Amino acid sequence: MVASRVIPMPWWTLGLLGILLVAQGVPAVADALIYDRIAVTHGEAWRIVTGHLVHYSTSHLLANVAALIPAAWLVETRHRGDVGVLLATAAVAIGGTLFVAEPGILQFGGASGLALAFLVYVGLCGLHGSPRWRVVCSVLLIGVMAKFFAEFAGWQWRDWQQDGFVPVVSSHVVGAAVGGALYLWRIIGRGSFWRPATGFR
Amino acid sequence: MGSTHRSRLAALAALGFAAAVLTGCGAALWGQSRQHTTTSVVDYLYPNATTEPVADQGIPVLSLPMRVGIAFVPEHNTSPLSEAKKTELLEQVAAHFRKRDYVKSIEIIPSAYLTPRGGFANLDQIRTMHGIEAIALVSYDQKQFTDEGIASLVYWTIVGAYVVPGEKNSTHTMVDTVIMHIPSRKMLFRAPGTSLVKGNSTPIALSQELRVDSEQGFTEAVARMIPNLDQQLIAFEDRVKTSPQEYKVVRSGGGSSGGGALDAGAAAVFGLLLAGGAWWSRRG
Repeated sequence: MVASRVIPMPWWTLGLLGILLVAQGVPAVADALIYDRIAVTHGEAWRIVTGHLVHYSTSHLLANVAALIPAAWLVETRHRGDVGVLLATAAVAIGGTLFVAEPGILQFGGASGLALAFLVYVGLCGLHGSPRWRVVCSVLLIGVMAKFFAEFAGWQWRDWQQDGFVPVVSSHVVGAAVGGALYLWRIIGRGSFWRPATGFR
Repeated sequence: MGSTHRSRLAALAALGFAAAVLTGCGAALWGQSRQHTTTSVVDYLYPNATTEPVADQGIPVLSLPMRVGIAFVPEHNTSPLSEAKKTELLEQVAAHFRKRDYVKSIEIIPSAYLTPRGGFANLDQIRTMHGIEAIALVSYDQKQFTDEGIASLVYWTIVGAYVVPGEKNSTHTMVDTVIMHIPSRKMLFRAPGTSLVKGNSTPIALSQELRVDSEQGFTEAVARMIPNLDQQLIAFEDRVKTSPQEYKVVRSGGGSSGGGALDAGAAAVFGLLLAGGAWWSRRG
């Protein structure tokens, strides 16, 4: 008899993907959600959080979704309760940092900061998993560090100014920091690492 | 008898002459008067509008935050306002522009830089000189009326003309600020303000009193225009956000559009690594 393991439906991840697609396809939604510094100062504070859901172009959306969705899906299936915490904490932290520390950025859109929060969290959590998964996550973390190195060195494969914006590295740094902080909080709070909701050990 | 009659006639003639002289003086001194000074934005911007069609330059592309200039529309004749008074009034208006986040700076343009009926050619020169994108043009229309009240009867005493304020003055002023986007030749919004100043004066001090009333009229009209201007500035800010078909916004100069973007290559590597790694680790 073979034991079947049911993987729960990743509703958070699917919902996030749905919102990203709606924001991309409906300009009025994008206008209402995008981070706009002037609008925020006039009371539209939700834009600090929702700006991550808006992208400037399809290629911008695809680049972020390619990393965000697999990472969010893994977090949801392995550490279900942390998806919402990670999303909310990273969105607030990145948006807040932009508002306080980046007064020159009048508009902001893009989920790469969220993606890095999820990638770092998955990578660090994976170090406690099965040997194969540890290898995968180690490579992932090395890749993330390499990306940061490239960003700080000014290397980029694509000039995003063609899409009407400049990449904001601080959003990536804050996103990664939030992922790392949540991992540390889980470790310190529980004494030992918790059991995941489903497999992939 | 005859000499008495002649002397009476002479006295009447003298009285009639005196009355005629005094009436003439009175007419010259105390006659009703009306003054009208006006400037027109339309006349300044479109001096040849009757012969040349006004070009449609399309949707204004607003480079936010933008630099704005502010100036009085130039007069054809002598201005009722001194340059110092103009600057004082413009500074009051400019202070309310500076509160808006989408205004990077606002510069007061002296009247000497604007040519009567200069049109957009003149505005293009100013735009180049001052590095502005939009300009707030303040035009005005002021009428002053002087009527004589019953007290003016004492002017016959000559002394009364110096001490009795029998002239009733009323000064009607309207100022209107129009904000023009110079590159697109489009009006962004406008705000008016009106005032009515009433006063009395002696005929001797009439011109001085009218000058004071004129300045007071401008001051009050500008003060009443400013709340309207504030409303329009806020409404314009909302329109820019809600009507992308009317205004195209480009963030530039002091601010920029930022984005959180992973390189497509890196994102693909991370995504494939996670998906493939998850599958591989499950097999083990």
